[in-house]
Amino acid sequence: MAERRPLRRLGVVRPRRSLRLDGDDLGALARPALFSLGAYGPERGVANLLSLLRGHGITATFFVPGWIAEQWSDCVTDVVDGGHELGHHGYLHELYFDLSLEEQEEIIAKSQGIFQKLAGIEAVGYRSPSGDFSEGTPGLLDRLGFSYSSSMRGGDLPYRWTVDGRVTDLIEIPSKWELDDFPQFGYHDDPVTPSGQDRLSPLRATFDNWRREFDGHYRFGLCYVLMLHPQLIGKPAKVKLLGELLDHIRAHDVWFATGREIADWYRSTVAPPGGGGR
Amino acid sequence: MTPGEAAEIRWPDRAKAAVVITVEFDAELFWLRLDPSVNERPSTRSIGEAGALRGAPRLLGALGAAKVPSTWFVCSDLVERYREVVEAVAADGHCIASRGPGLVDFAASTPSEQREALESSRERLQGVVGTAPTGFRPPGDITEQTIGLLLETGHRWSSITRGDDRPLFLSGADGRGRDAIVDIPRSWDLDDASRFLFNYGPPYPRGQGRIAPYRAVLEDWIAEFEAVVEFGRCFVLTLEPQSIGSAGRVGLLEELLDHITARTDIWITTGEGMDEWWRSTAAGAEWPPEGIRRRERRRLPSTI
Repeated sequence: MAERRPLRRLGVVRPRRSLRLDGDDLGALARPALFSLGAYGPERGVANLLSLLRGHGITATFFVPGWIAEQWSDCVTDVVDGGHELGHHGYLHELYFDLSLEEQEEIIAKSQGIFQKLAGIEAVGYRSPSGDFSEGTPGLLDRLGFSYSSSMRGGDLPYRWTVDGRVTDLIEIPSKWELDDFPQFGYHDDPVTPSGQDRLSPLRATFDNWRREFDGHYRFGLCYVLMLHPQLIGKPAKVKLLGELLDHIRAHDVWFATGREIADWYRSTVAPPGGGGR
Repeated sequence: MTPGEAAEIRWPDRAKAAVVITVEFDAELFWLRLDPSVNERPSTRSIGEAGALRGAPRLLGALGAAKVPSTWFVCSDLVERYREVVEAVAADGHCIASRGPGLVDFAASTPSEQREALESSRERLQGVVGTAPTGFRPPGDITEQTIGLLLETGHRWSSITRGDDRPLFLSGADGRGRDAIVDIPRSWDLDDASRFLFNYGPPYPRGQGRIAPYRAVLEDWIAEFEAVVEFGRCFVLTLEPQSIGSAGRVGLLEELLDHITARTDIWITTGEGMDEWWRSTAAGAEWPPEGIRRRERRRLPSTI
């Protein structure tokens, strides 16, 4: 899928987004209502979520922006000590689509340095923050030795990335917006989120969507990749409903895996096309 | 008028109502139409690509299991890229119709551009399917010249308007195409992409509305179907493989098709089947309605 080239190249001009942000710009003091909205994640949500996962005996993959790791280093330690995987998610949740490859590489190096310092590890998995990365990103990730990306929003099975016509060992583990809590539950009045100020999605209806998606993935033997944000899913009612969803999933014959495990399994099991076979 | 008494429409074999399942096969062109930057956005493109390669086969599976014929409007820009998908649709006996090239906005094109797009799409679809399509549903709207151009380029029917719940004859203000192009009206109520598709950049829906609750949408569609049958009209469902074909949503379609096929008193047909029937039996309804036609004619410059 990923190796298919775009049909047409149309001209496009887009503004470069400034990268100059630091803690003050993020508004910890100046915009406490806005800042604390996200801070619920590391302050409370992560602990609630880790406790739920522990109860179910499930390990997860946490994609953590470097800046968040610096501010809430205890969270990083808790995640790693809990046996969960730490993945790359930008330094300030930058939209990679807007960045040159040099800028992307800088952000990755900086964030890896932070993970190294805090937990003595570097991320092998990458999830692009805020949507699209650029056409050159898979080549960069491959060159930097990443094991996998989980950034595509179409597809339901892992596959290898093709870079400049060469099938690589970089695995893609795609997910979808319909398995993301943010489109359903992200909300704020200023800045307005979502842009049309749609109302919050009903909880049970959303979990029913996710349950139906799981049932479909199970039926067709696919890879179900749920994307959750501790600032949303980590709240009491949602964490409880997530528990019900996990109960439902665990009643089936499935393999709970981290991104790293999926990528390792896929690389060792599925040979690249034209390769030496299994 | 009371429901159920509207038996003024005669369907084949004394059926109470008609059903036409339509599919818009747009894949990544759905996203490219929103913003050309999608050419450089692999993640956004992958939503449409997965729709073609993963969603379409699952959709075909659901239709095949229910033995329900459907009508696929295929963008001709996609026929080489997804040749195997289009061939599978044709091999399963579904009706294939034209959606134009895929990125052409007919409402914003000159008559000669439209003609070129209609002709080339027809040829490219014929090249893969073997027969030239007779039906047409573009993305977006058309102009009044389109109807005459459809006739001149070998089309017989379309599915464009949204103002009725039974087929009608379509004609431009100039009267061309009158009594010649059968249009099968569709409805936003029975459209899946507007309920389920989502993306942040480029944003869809534009106001970033939530993904609809699956169960509620299924309940809506069943309610619509029951009411359309009671009124004796035509149920026209519009599906997009990347939307209905997700692993978790194809089951909704299966439940709906179970519901539909459980009735033996309805007629399930394709765009072509409806075109033939309506042409052979029906009279009356037209777009634009006579009143609007008269008013429009007074307003239009005499050159038209």
